[in-house]
Amino acid sequence: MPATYEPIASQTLVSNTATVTFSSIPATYTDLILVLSIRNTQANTYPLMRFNSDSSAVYSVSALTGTTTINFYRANNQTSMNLNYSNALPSTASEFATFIVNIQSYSNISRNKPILSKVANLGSATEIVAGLWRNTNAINTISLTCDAGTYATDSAFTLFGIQAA
Amino acid sequence: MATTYTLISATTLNTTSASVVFSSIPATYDDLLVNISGRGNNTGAFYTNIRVQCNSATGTYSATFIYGLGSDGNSVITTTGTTVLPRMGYVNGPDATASTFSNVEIYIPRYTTSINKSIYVASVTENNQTLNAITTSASNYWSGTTPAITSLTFTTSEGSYVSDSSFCLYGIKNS
Repeated sequence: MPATYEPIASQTLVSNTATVTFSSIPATYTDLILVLSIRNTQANTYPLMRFNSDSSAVYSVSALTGTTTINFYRANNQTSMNLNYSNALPSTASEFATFIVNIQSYSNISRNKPILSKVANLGSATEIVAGLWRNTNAINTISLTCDAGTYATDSAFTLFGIQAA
Repeated sequence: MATTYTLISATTLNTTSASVVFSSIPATYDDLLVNISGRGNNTGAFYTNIRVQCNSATGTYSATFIYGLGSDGNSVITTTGTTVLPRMGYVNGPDATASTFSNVEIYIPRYTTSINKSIYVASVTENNQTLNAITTSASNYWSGTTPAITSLTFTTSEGSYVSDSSFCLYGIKNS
């Protein structure tokens, strides 16, 4: 298999952490994939993502969610991107939600940046979240926080680079 | 930088098989990814549910999945307390358009750790009708004290996988 799916950086938390950052992301790939296996230290919290530390209201998200019902959420002009909308992050030991986030054309400076987040939140919720960062700059930094609390110890964050050729 | 997306094992069936097993999965990766291109033989079915056991363990598994079913609309189903991972995608059945195989992707993060396993699955079974084409997104969960995954056994809710169904297991390293 060609060498087109490569780890750029990985972090497994050894202490509770409010913000996880991938910085100095090389522009040498076509797309990025961010894989998260995460929980929070407190209940009723949601993960948020920003690019290049941009906190202006230029993020939008559409989410298709399934718990006991199917729902659709839409938010625009946000100051960060929610990666899921239905069930909150787990806060119990040994319970981690899985996120697979595709970030397409992250280094293409003629396009705004779309993302697709696929979520497995224990056995009780699944989601597909599409997002957009209305900015054509190449993404060189990804920051992950939560709306409250901190990411708990042993949460894992890995960023992969995908090359089209 | 090392390539870390590696084929561990691939099986393309040359006969109808009730189960497909990946055994002795090495613990040298961080995540697993399974791609299935499958079709089943359950008489009268347009699609059949894929089921999976980890390490031949009979529980405790649960799942929630959302699906779209052509012009039949969409819904969500939660299943708990099962002896198999219950919503691991679908394969086309014999009533679906001939020579059409489903497309399934299964992502299992941190399979060597003792954390509960939260598994994401996306699948599609296409079909040349307004009905009976099913698209799914699913969260499957193996809870309790779960060991490293060393084997994956794929069965179906009814019937078997037909010849030419393929199953590919990849290992992914994060460094």
